[in-house]
Parts: sequence; C-alpha cells; structure tokens
Amino acid sequence: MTEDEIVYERRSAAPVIAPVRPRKLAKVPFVELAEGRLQGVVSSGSDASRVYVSSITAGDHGLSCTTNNNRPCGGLGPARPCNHIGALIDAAVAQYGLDRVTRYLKACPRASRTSATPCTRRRRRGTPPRCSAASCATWPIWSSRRPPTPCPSCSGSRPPGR
Amino acid sequence: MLAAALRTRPAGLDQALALVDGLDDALLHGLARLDETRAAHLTALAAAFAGSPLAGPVAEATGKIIAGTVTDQHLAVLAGARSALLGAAHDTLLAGVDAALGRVREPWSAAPVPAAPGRPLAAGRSWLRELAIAGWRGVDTEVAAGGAQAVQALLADPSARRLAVLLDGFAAELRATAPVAALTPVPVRRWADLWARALLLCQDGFATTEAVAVDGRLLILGADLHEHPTVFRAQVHGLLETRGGGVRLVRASMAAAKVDTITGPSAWRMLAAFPLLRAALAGHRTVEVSGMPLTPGGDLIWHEARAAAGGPADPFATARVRLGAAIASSAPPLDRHPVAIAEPVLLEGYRATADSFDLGGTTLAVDVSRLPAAGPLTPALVAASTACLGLLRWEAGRWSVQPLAVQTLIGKKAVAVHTADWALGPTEARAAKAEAVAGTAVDVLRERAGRLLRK
Repeated sequence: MTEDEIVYERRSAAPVIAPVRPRKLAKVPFVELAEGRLQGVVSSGSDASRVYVSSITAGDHGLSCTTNNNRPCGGLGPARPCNHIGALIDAAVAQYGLDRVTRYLKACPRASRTSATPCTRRRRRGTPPRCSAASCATWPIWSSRRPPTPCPSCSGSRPPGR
Repeated sequence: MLAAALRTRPAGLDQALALVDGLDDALLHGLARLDETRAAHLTALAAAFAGSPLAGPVAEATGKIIAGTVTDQHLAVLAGARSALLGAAHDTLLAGVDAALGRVREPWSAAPVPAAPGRPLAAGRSWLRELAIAGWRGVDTEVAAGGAQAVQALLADPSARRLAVLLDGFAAELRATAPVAALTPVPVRRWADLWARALLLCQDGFATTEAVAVDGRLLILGADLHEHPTVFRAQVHGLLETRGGGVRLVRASMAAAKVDTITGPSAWRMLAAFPLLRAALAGHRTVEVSGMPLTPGGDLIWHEARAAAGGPADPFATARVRLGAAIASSAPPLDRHPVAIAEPVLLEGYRATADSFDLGGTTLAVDVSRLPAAGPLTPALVAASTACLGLLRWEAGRWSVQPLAVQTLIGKKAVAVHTADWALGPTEARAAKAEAVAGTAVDVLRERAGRLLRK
C-alpha cells in the first residue's frame, strides 16, 4: 500500500460542513441560515407563551420581527434593531461561528476591516453607534477598540460589560 | 491473505480514476468555460468508452459539450459514463477482497422495475444543469439556493425521498460554502459524486427493483451511524439466518429527520419509532423477522411490526462463527462506487497503533474520523484493542477499516465496546449526565415549536 497522504479533493467522503456547536436553547430555540435570511424563533422575555419570529435578510440587512400572532415587535424601529434580533445574532454566532454568519449575511465585523480584506459594504447613514459592551445583546459582534459609547439597546438597563 | 489483497493495486484502477478526475476537473471550472485542457479530458473520456455500448452517446455528448451545447441528455450521459467507470473500479476492488476473505457474492440478477411516472423531477434536473454549466467555482449564494424549490417539491412525494434527501444534503453543502470561488480546497470528487448520482436518480425512466419478503433470525454485527445536519441514520449490519439454513449478509436502516442543533448521543432520541431495533442494538440481542422486505442489494426495509425480540447474541461470537460462510449481495447498479464499499470484517491478532493496525507486515489505516459522536467508541479504545469488528472501506487510493466494535482491556478487565451501545441512552455515568443536559434540547424544541401555532 502506498503511504500517500489522502488528498481532500480526491475523497468521496470528504467532510464539508463542520458540525454545529451546541448552545443553550431556552432563549433562541431555533436559528438557521436559509432562504437568503438569518432567521429563527426567539422566546419572549416577559411572556412564556409568546415567541417572536425574527429575521435579517442577507445583503441589504432588512430586519423583521413579529410575534406568532403576526403582531409586529414593539422594540423594532426603522433604524433600531430590537433585542430579539440581537439574541438571534448571538445564537447564530454561537451555533455557526462568526465567519459563516457574516459570510452568509454579506456583512463584516469592524475588527476584520483591514486593508487586506476590505469591506464592500458601507454602513448606512443614520444607523446608531455600535455598542462595545460584550454583554450587549444587540450589537455583540461589533466590537470596537474605542471606549464604550452609549448604546441604544442597552443603555440604562444593562451592565456596561467587560 | 487479506493483507496481500489490501497491498495489491488492481490493474487499470489508476487509469480509470484519472479519467474520472479529468471529468471532475471540468465540473470544477464549469462546462460553459471549457479550455483546451478540460476539453482534452472530455475527449479522453470519450476515447476510453470506444467499443463499449456507451461509445456512441459518450462521443456525441462530449463533442456537443465541447462545442458549447449542454443539454439534460448530454449531462445524463456524462453522469452515466462517470458511474460506469467508478462501478468498474468498485467491482475490481471488491473482487480482490472477496477472494481474500473467501466471501461468496451472489451475482446481480434482479429484474428492473420501471419507476412510477409523474414525479416532479424536472426542477431537480434543471438545477443540476445550472450547476454543471457554472461549475463549482461559479456557485454563489443564488445558484446554491436555486435547488430549494426542487427539494421542497420532492420532499412532498414519498416515492422520491431518496433523491430529495440527497439533493437537500448537497444543496446544504453548497450553501454552507458559497461563494465557492474563495474556497480552498474544494471537495471535487465528492461533489461530482453527489451531482452524478442525483442526476441519474432525476431521470424519468430510472428503474428500481422489487423487494421480496423474508423470514428468519437477524444476528447483529454492528451499527454504522451516519449524521448530516438534518438527518440521523443508524445502518445495522447483520447476518440473516433463513429457515432453510442459509446465512446472508444484510443491512437494516433506521433514519429520522432532525435539526442541526441535535447532535451527539441525543440524536438517538429522534429514532423513537424504532424501539425494538434500538433495544436489540443496546442489549446485543437477536431479532426474529417475518415477512420483512429484503431488496436484491441486501437491505432489509425495516418494519418494527414485522420484527420480534430474540435471545442474546454477542456480535463477536456471531462474527467468529457465522461471518465466514455468509453469502453477500451484489450492490445495486447505482451503488457500485468505491465509497459504497463497506464489507464487515473481523480483525484479530494485529498490533494496534494510534491510527492503524499492523496485520503482520501490512498496515491497515483505521478511519477514526468515522467514529460516531453518538457512541462510546473512541480512538483511544481502538488503539488499545485486541480484536475489532469493522467495515472495510476504500477511499482516495487506500484501504481502511471503520471500527464498529472493539474488544479491549480496561484496567485488567476485558470489555467489548460497540458504536450502538448508547442506542437507548448513554450507559456511562458522565456521558449520561451530559446527554441529559443536551437531550433537553429535543424537549425544549418540542415545547417552543408548539407555541408557534397561532391562537
């Protein structure tokens, strides 16, 4: 038998999709990257019988969040994501990894915007400043080296983070 | 004997695989952009088929594709030619192993049964054509997502489930890696395999075979656990003792859909519809079957209602006593592919190292990457083993063994560890605790999913 190294390209049983990482399901029971969206089901923080169906479209990053009875989420404004969307992003990053989520959504976290990998998308004007607090549920993946700035989603009610 | 068979490389195998690689390379870059090198690959393929029944169609299809016309008909011929080459490779590799093991294999004699018409296959064909024209390098998010509609339509039709699950898994791989242009390395052989198989299953006239009902006693050898993001399957390899006294190598599968959050030992919970077979696996018992359909390829189509629990049977004892004389089935035409080779073997008297067994001068690799997350078998147990019940596999030019069970020493106590020991839940305290935490995933998802219904 030849001791050639097994070549990935020539393997019929080559592993392609890395198994997802286990995560806690109580807050976000289901999340998937499908149909051009990051979409999932988010438990309501106040009412155990209510769930929210939240999604972010890939590319133009349109946000949607409604209850199971098709009522719009009160926290979602035109330029302001709600906490459910933040929890959805958190869960997606925990499950699929940051790289796969940003690649699917065609987004790039600020940390990766170097000259070698320029981001093709510019931030829309009018979007709120991003939170640098690691505990912030809304913008957890956008970390900045600058000192924390007031975050619209976690000011007042949340601890300032690390 | 076996060692010698694993060392020899059948004549013509490399040439056949070189032709397959040439075609795969053309599919990597896309049939719409064939340069001189890739066109030469296709011409070589046509030349290799000269004198065979496929000579005319292959020459015409490659000629037209090089000229720039890509139709469903031409692609079906390409997929057929590729499958024929790999089928020949499969046959010659398996013949060598059969001779070494002294295994008798029944020749393929099943009469083809025409498939039921009216299945929604056209959408699948058109997506596969789009993929072939674009090539893997040209697959972006839109192309990858283009198969979704075809998959939805096929999943609704139970008779097309095999094709639907195949296309679903293939589309998921493309979606997860899109855009492929930036991906290195690309699983070229794998995607061409999936593409060719799906395209053949998408043909309207693709024939199936009929199963016959059998009675007898199923002695389990072991279970091969397969998992992809949305499906979990346990494929049981075993020996079927029929009333007449014959012993056949058979397989029985149980599968269930799942979501990708459910992994590891919790996946067994999804197989709730198969309590009897799971109990037989976990408790090492035989199963009495009556009127169970058996396909000509040796697959039992499992119906729990036609099975009854039998007495205890140790898989290693079964393999030592009965495996040698068992009659094997030939693979159905579509499964004649080297990657489908999975011959149950019992290995003893070897020297185990971390990733291989030394069979007296010949090194046989151990495929530790196939050890399942849903079972107790670990690489460390395999490396310390004295006997191994496994599946002989061939991949990318070399033989390897996929352990299904090992006999090993833990401390001074001889124990046997099987992949399916946890079929009814982990037996080891630490794993059971971890599974109890992770297993609530299934319950949480059921409860939350219920809330989605409108009130």
